[in-house]
Amino acid sequence: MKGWEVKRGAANGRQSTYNPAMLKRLYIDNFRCFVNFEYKPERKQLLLGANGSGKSSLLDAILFVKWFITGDENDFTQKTRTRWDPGPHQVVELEAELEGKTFLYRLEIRYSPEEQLPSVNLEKLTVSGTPVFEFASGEVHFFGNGGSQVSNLKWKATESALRLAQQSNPHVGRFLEWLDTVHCFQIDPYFDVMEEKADTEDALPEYNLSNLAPWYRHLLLVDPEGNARFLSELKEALNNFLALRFSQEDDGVRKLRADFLAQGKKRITLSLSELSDGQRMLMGLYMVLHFVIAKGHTVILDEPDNFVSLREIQPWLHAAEDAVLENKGQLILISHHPEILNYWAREFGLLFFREENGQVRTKPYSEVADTGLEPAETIARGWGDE
Amino acid sequence: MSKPTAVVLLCEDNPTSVFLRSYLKECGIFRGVRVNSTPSGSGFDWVLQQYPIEVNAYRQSKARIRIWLIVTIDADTKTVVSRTNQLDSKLKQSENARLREFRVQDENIARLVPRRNIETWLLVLTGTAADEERNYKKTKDKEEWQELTKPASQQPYAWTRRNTQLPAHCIESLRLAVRELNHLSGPSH
Repeated sequence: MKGWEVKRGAANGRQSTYNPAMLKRLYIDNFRCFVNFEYKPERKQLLLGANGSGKSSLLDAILFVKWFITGDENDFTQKTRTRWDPGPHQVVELEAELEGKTFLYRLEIRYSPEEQLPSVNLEKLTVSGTPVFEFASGEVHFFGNGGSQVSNLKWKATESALRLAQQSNPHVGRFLEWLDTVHCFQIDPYFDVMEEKADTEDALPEYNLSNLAPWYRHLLLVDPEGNARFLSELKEALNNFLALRFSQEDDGVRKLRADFLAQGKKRITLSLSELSDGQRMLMGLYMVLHFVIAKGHTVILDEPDNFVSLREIQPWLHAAEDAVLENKGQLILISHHPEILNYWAREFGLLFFREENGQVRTKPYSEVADTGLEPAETIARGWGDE
Repeated sequence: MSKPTAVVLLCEDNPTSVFLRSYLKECGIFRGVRVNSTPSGSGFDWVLQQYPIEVNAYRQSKARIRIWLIVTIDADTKTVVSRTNQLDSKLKQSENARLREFRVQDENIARLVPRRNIETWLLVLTGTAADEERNYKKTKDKEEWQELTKPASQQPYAWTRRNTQLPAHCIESLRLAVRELNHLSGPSH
């Protein structure tokens, strides 16, 4: 085994050897406010900028591609097109560096007045420039390892065909495996979103962690060591927290419970819904840290500071950046919080802004940082948004 | 070693704070670390400006909590002594009489001055001989320096052990830093 290769269980249980993988480039055209937009993420990055500058839409573009490929749902609709762009094609490209090779996935969605549903104009995967899969005009082209076309198949133009090519070319499987390790999170800790019921096990987290309990139930089985680290850190972050456990209720439903030490050293048990939003948020953040970031995955996390007390933001950030460093992962944060802006903007900040024509553009925060003010103050004054 | 309940790291940049936090983990200190690193502009100016504020906060809090203050400022083209003198002058200029005193013997304040910068230390701490006059920052990319951070951070812990002989390639600014770290509650382990 080469030095960089690590055996691990991917989120879906597949075993793989991998090189520290990274999302290297994202290209978006004709999607919401993105026109001919290119973004090259770093290993650690902070996306900042005014409301409506496109930060969360970038996360959505990646999520939509993931869901489209996995067949979970198709969120590419007329409403996601750029309002001022009459072009019929919407394009998203994902570029990853895997084992030293450049994997480029391109998805072109076609919108035409004659067709009720948007359809795939082109779906293509190349590895270092060589095609390994192509889906165009309703026909899937399969390629062997050497780049030669081996067969064709007719397929529905409204669905991704990428999964069909896993058998014909191992690079397709490798790309899909990597895509499983790209996570976009907008954690929503509201009690009616973050379910405490766990009748099933979920191998993968939802983007909003609505399935926190079923996901945790799965993790308890597959990653007991990660769980020990997670609980140990959660004890530091949550006052008087003791443990998490599942309990069977009278209605037969298994639910996630948290034990705390109460007055008089009594142990009390609270349901997930009885915790505060901030406590649930911290639980979600430390789960993402120990079960995703610490696996060397790519994580794009929208507003991790929501609901979290001021003193808990930096400790989580420290632990997260250490996990990125130690496991060669990738962490992209989206935030407006002064604590995060002042800590990361100078060195890792990428400012999103809209040009006069409405298009989203970016520039390193350092280019607007010569005001002498702290980044949070510069942003608060609106001096860094142009 | 008597572990602190709070550690404040005043430093110029993220690589330095990552290095120091990693060192603290080696010492068994995982929580209670607060980083005050440059939010914008010159890291050197930031550390000088914040130094009296942090010393004041330290002195106001040390009776209540067991606290360490670790200050790191790059020597750049200057010497270690000239940088510590600059820190001292900042206290001397203060309107606050309590601050005009330099670090007193029982205070857990360490002042580390990498010369020329943290990258020089990362090299030496991972076994490479380096020249303090030379700027190595651009000899590796960001990721390569990051790779060195963890192994490098393990070394000061070993070097602060009682009676440890520092290796021949250890540079002066690091020797002084080891002495400063030993000052935090004494050479310990």
